[in-house]
Amino acid sequence: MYWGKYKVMKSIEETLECLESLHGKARVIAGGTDLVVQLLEKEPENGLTLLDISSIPKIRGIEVVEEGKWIQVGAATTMAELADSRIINNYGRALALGASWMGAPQIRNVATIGGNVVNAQPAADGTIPLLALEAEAKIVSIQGEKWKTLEELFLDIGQSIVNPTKEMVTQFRFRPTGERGNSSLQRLAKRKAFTLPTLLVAVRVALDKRKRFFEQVRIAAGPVARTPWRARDVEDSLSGTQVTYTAIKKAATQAKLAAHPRDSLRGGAEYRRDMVEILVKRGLMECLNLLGVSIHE
Amino acid sequence: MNKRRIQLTVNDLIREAWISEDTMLLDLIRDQLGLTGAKRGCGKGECGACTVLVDGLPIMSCIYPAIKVEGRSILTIEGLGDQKRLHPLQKKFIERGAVQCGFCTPGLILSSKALLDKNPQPSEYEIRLAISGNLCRCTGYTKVVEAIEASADELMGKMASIERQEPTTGSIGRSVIRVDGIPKVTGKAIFADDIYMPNMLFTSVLRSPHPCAHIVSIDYSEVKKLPEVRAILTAKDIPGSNRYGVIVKDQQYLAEERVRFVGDPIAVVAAETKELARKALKKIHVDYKILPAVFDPEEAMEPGAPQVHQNGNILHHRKIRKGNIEDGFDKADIIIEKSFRSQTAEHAYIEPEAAIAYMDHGQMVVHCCTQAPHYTRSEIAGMLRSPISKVRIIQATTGGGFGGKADLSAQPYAALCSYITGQPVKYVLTREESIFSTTKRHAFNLYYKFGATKEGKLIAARVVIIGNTGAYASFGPAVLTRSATMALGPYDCPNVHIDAYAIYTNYPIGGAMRGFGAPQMAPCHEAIMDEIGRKCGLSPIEIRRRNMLHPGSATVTNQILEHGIGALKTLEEAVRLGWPFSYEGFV
Repeated sequence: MYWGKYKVMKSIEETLECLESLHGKARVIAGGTDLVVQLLEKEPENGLTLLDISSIPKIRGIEVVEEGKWIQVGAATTMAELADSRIINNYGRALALGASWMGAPQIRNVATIGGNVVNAQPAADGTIPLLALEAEAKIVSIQGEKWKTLEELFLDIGQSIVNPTKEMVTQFRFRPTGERGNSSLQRLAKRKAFTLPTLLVAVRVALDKRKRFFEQVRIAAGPVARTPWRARDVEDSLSGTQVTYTAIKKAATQAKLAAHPRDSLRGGAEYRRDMVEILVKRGLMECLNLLGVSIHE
Repeated sequence: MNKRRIQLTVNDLIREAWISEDTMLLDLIRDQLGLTGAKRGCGKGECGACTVLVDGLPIMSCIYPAIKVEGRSILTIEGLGDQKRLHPLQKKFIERGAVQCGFCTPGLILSSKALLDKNPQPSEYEIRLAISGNLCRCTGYTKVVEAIEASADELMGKMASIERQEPTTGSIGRSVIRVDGIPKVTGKAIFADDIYMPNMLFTSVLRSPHPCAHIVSIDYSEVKKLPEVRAILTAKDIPGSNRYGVIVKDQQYLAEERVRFVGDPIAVVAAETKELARKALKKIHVDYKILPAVFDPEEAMEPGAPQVHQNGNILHHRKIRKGNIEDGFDKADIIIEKSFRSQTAEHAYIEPEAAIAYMDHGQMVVHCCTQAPHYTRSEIAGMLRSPISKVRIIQATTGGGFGGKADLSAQPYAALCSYITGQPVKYVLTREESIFSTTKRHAFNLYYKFGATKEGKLIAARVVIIGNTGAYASFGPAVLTRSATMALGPYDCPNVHIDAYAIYTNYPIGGAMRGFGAPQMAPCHEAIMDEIGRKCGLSPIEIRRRNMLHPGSATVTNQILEHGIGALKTLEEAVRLGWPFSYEGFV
């Protein structure tokens, strides 16, 4: 037995009750494309109960809420659903791209955005765009619910503040990129399918009314630190400046200097640092291009 | 164990199944429903061979808990079409030659089916994206994409953009439909793992975690107590010879005293289920005395290096001498010296090694994936100390081989357990086992020195090839012999001096793989020919024209070639097509 029991949950309440009554012997599973594989490789855990939340209707789907203030995504929404969603493609394009590149089609039909984020991998294809979109996650436990920013979620490689034996993430929400904004995701990987990225860079840009100044810039990247990373200094120095190629180049270089990637099977630290610069530049240029702003080198 | 009853729709029929809490959908489909078209390639959701559609969406059934499909609808390859009414995808896969070994085919077809249901006229890019979760090692993807395009056209009622004339009579000069095409596109082709027999046992093999160690003791008393385990066997239980090898009999089915690489088999268990067999392995305690290991072949050649086998680490030394090498270099105006390294490569056929063995009226019958049934037969007969006429090897449909299935893998263990227990026994390697325990392409260290005249004529070649043959000989001596004879590629040279060594190390076993020692040589001689060309001011085309073998040339072994030499013709054809291509040509 890879696990003791597998229960398909019908509601959030049922899940929380099960978590409570099983005192740490149960954990939440959604698509399971990571967790099942991990459990297959581990020593059998007969005492473990898996609570499958992937078919709870309340935590599935994508909607525009509060009169367009937020885009809300159910944690059990699959990566394929995100990739195909008109709402996500229009208002959180980087997330749609990330979802469309993750794993392989058969994985994307099953894997959920909740699992992708809660796994806390530093370069998850769903996490990095959500970070640039300044998303928040709703964490629910028997004690109640709380919204946390995505940045607050991560502690270390593979560790998030969400305790899978007590809590579950039910929703994500982020502000839609409006008419003067857009987002992009740059993915560097050895292949287009079945591979974790060597480097992921997500950029969100909002311009002023005349599209001459960066009003707000958000940049996220991974794996360049032990947790998904926001280039806050770069964001700060770019926001409010005039849209010029020099400013973009300067920001890209600043991002490179601030990033601290490591050597791994998928790429060397130095190469990754160099590529942070390139991908940040490409990401900014792509956003501007989508906003109809042409920039000359 | 508690079983749970679930109801689901499978290929439009309502079915019931009894499953455990941790049954995967693939096991439910194959073991209980008997639908073996979905294959187990990796068991980790990486290869796509297990693809089935759940409510129309392709998923990896090997990592999909079966409980999740309760009340849902599954489509497997068996539900798509049958021999008399093939789905257009199945028809076009056969017609366009998109089917080779057939192991990845059901998954590829189902991924394509889901795509065409959603998007009846996909672009080539969309097709490639849709099948990006299905790995294929034989066909590649070009013909698969063509087949999907053609079936999309047919489903839309259009004439296909590329139509091929069906053969009318005879088969010479025409493309014919492959004889095993229909079974492979309908999921009816029987691979070894697709054979199920009553009272069948499952095998698992305990393998060494150390590259080099002395086995002090093996304690399997705990395993003996398990009622579900029907056999636990070590070297002493082998009735006949415990030595095998296609060229040198240096390998043991089960290690006696010494293990020589990570993956060397030590004990074999036959139990009622796969899980129990694997679990039993954990209860075997082996006391190892770890010995120094050697991994680098050049280190292994040095005096005082750890000895992998008693007769020394040089398994084979192939010499080729032609003309007078010193004379050749003396006359050379240009001398280029280069060293190269090539890496180990895994065949990665999508079907892992599999065998099922049973006794039939005193005859040992083994169905297995293999490239060498006769060799397998003689070795198994020797192992069982049985007349060769009492052993029958039936090659099951084989899911890719590329040389890796020319050696023994699962067969002897299934046969041994079946011989001892009298029950049918199946052994399928896990993907991990397949990667670390079976043969690989040799890693080479190569030292090249070419001498040429200023006109660009190659007149001297000295080559040293050091092949890491790993812990056992396998095809090593033959591979290195072929490397030696292929060391100059298609080039003519009067003075040649080649030394090729196959060196034992505690590395995974080097064996047969596509090209058999020749592909490692090509990047070396080609790179040096380019360099000679540059030094002489000759183009890559001209330097090759001046040196390629032609009728009347003598090869490195002094065989006079008379006809059938394709090198120059190939070069001229490549030139016609625009070779050497600029870098931009590849973008």
